[in-house]
Amino acid sequence: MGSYVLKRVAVSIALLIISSILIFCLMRVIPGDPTITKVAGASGNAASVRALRAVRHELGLDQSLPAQYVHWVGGILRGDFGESYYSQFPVTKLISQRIGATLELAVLSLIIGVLMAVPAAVISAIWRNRAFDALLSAFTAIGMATPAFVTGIVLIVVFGVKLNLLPTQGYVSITHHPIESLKTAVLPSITLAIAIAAPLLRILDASLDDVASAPYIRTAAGKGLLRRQVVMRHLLPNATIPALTMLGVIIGSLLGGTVIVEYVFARPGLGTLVVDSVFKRDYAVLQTLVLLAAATFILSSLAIDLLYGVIDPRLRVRGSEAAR
Amino acid sequence: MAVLHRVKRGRGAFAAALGVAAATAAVLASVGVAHSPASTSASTKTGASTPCKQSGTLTYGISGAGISGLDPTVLAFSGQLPLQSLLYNSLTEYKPDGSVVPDLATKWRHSKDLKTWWFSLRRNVKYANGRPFTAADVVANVLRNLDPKVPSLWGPAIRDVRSVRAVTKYQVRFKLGGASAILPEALVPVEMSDLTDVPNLNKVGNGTGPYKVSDFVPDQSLTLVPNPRYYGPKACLQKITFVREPDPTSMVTDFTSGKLSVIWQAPLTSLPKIQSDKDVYIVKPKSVSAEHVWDVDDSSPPFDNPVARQALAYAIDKETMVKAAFFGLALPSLANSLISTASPNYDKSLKPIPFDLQKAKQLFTAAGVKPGTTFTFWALAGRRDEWITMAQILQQDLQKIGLNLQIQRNDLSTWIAKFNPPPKRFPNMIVGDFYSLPPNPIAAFGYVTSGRCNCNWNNKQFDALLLKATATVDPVKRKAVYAQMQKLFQKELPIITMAHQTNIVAAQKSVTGVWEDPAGTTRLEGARMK
Amino acid sequence: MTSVAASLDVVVSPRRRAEGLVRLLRRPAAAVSFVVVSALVFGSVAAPLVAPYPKNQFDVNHLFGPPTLAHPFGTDELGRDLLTRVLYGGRTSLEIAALATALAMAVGAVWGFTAAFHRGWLDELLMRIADLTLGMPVILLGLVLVAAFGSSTKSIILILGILFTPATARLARSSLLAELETDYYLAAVSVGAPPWRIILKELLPNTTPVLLARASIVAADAIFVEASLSFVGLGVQPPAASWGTLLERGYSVLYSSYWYPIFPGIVILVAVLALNTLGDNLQRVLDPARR
Repeated sequence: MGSYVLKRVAVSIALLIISSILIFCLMRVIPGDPTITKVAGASGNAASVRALRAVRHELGLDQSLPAQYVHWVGGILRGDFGESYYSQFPVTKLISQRIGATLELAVLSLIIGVLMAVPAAVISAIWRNRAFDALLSAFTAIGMATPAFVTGIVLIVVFGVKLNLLPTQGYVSITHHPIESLKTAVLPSITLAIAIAAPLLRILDASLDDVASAPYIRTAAGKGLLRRQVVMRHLLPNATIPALTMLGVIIGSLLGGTVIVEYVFARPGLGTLVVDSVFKRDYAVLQTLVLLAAATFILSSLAIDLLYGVIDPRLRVRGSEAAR
Repeated sequence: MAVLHRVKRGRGAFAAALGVAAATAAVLASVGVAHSPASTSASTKTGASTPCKQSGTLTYGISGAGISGLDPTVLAFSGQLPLQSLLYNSLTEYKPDGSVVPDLATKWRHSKDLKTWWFSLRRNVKYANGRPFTAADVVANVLRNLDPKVPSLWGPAIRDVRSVRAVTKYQVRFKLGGASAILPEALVPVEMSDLTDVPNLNKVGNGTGPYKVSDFVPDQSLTLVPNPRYYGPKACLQKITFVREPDPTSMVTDFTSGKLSVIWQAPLTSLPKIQSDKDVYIVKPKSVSAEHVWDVDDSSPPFDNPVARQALAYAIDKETMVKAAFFGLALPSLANSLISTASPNYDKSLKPIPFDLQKAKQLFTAAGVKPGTTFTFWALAGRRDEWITMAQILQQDLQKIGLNLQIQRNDLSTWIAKFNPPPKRFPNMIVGDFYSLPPNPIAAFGYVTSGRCNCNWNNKQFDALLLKATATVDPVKRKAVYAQMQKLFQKELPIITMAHQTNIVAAQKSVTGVWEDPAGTTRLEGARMK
Repeated sequence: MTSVAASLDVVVSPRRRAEGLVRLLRRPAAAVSFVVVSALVFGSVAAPLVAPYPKNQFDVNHLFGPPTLAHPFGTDELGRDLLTRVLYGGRTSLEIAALATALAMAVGAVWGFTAAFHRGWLDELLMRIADLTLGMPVILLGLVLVAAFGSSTKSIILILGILFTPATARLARSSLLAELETDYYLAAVSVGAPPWRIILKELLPNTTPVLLARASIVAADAIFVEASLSFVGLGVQPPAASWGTLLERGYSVLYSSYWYPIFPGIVILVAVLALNTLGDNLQRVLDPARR
């Protein structure tokens, strides 16, 4: 077990390093140059070559690629992730200014998503009502087929514009004004929660079905246990494994999911920072964000893997591949 | 995207500029450009404004990009231009009628040959952080604008300044390489920022203006509060918040629901909605100098040949385009001029270039453009949808004469790197662009002088005419030079000018004192809320 | 999902596969989805025949027109008929979806099968590469790739293909791994049949249905992601339109011409829904444990 954990951690770190190199190179080979955007972006007009050279030097972009990379990694090891080419704010400050909005959205939507999916799946397994099952299938199918921005627009039009019940944009810090903060978070969280709940519900449903047909469950049912008891005691714990995996994948890719939702609801989170830094080739910011996303993903899949190892040693290796 | 000057107005309320100050305006107007080696003294332009109680929060919506920096010299985004007059001052400023009046300077005079200028400074001015403002600050800021290593937007307009020196603590002397009758005007956009801390200027925005920064999240939001050290009349708002909206649609939605007080660059398609809302109004500029243009590369085939450029001009159906893309709300530039047809400096003897596909075909053939050639229209993604509408019309028209146009939308960095820095070649391309041209023709023409135009047009005759206009004191004679330049520009067609139009600014009726200058910048320094 | 299916050692014989399609269409949801997808494909392929107007017919006197009898979906910013635009847009969207899926399936299958068959370090390497790309948010990678390759129809196909390959590779790997553990494979190997022959004749065909079900879902995802890219302004280039770019353009005039985005939005929803349902049902039909 110990060596297994060590190996997984080592692989994860290697993955992180390779991701960092990959995005580092990828950003620099694509067309566009932050120096030109910085110098001429506001005017669209003639950038002078001398000014360009000066700015390039100032940003350290006149160094060779390996030198730039070493400089960047060296900074990270000292806790310095660089600064934005445009605002000159440290990247860590830019992220800390915005991560609150993203975290609140991510956590709330995860909670809402799980609270939607798990009870629904359990009720469906206990109740075994055709109409209810059909309703759930319809929800998962539509939930998975609707792009988050469409859900978002519909919610904005209905609850924000027509009914004028809830704010449709903006963000209030939760430490600053908890109630206002939750209010602004409701619609975006529901939008994202639907996108989380639909696949989760589907996989829970499927695995509950699977486990239900297993011989030991039939035995348990044969022993005369109540349906509810069978579900809660035997079915649910066994059906959790694939759902857990799915949840891990969802958490790992949550940053990607928040991008579009934040965009639609004008939430000042990391999403706009991502889009801006790509469009403006703000390398330092983008590199750090990608690292953050990759780290979240790798850590969450590592956690799931390790959890598997604890739950069922036989699944150690294959566990992480259970999700679609 | 291009921005140059802005027209500044008195720091007082808008009403003041129109009403009480009207009497002094006539006097002030005549001191703008001195006619003789005269000494100019001026009263403080804000003396007559009505006092106000500081109240209300004005939220200002921008979309597409956010404010990423506060440095007034190295601008990152044209959406930050309102900050120039909120956080900073310059030696001189524009009044809404276009005349130049003193601001941080109190008066100025020049030598007979128009090559040496003296500016006297206002005393007891302090930056928002308490540091006193003196002649040394003027020297530092002017030199920074002239530094070739600093990508200043305003430097080119004053590049003829050979030396600038603090004669006393409150007097500055400029020496120019050539005669200039318009130095005070060229200095309007040169803002005086606190350069003792350049590394942090972009983050703190320390200036002498009526407001100061209280909170800044780059590319997202910026909050300003009144600057208690401001020398002019007190600011009327408790707070101004700049809010970045992800896209124009959500901006308009939040504006019509009342969450935003003023919006900038409202999409044209939202006009019917805004106009039907009785709680809001469109802020209309007095005149429009900003212009949509299509850049071509005058240094590589086929558009290095003026005949090919003429052919293109004949193939462009400007009237239909303006109708479809701007709903008729722009002035088509039918004679291909950088000067708006509504401007007094427009040369009325210019003949329009008609839309004539047969003539276009003939000229393209004469210029050696083979049938089946494909041009590329290079545009921005996610904004300026009107360019795409216009380009699709050209696309269809070119098809009729056997030519193709491929439309390519790009993110900002890809778009800009295609033609920058000059002399970068971009053969076979038509680049959509927006020039925030200032109302002064000298500054506008400066955009297309040698080495400065994206189009790589280097015309010595045009450069010489510009120098001549700069040194001409008599406005009538100067207008004649402008006419000559417009004729040359039409003959050579270095770029295609499409239509004069500004950014659409809309405001809630509860907000007054907001105005828009001819270059399309929203002016908020005199705003107040009911 | 896969491991659930993969951990069950059940042989899918060729005969059962043939019955698969029939069984699939007996499910009402699947039958409806099949009809819907066919109709969308037909409408798009036959757009020149069924569209009420020529492809790019301008009418600058009727910009942003509301739905009328002459223009059931309304008109766009150049007065073009939106129904016609949606039909032709389907060509772009479905072409992108189909080709991107084909690309992802082909490359992903080779990638996954190679990993599964070789095991050991090559397997580890290939799968870690897949992990790497899976770790990056799709939309971020999409934005960067669009910046790199541009946003012509061709490059969008390529980009979506790249985006969906790693997940397909994992699926291909695990489904072949499951086959390699089956009793009959082990039996065949033990009686001395050459492994490559068993693989070609039995194992690969057995994994096809799983991949086919996956393809349907990838196609749905492709439409989805293409729309997301369009949403930030990086969709296909005009005058070509996809459902995604039509939706984006419509969204930008939501307040003045609310009908504009509705129809492209509905078509995207219906197409994704149908493809997902089809893939889902395919999976259920082919997965013996679920029957």
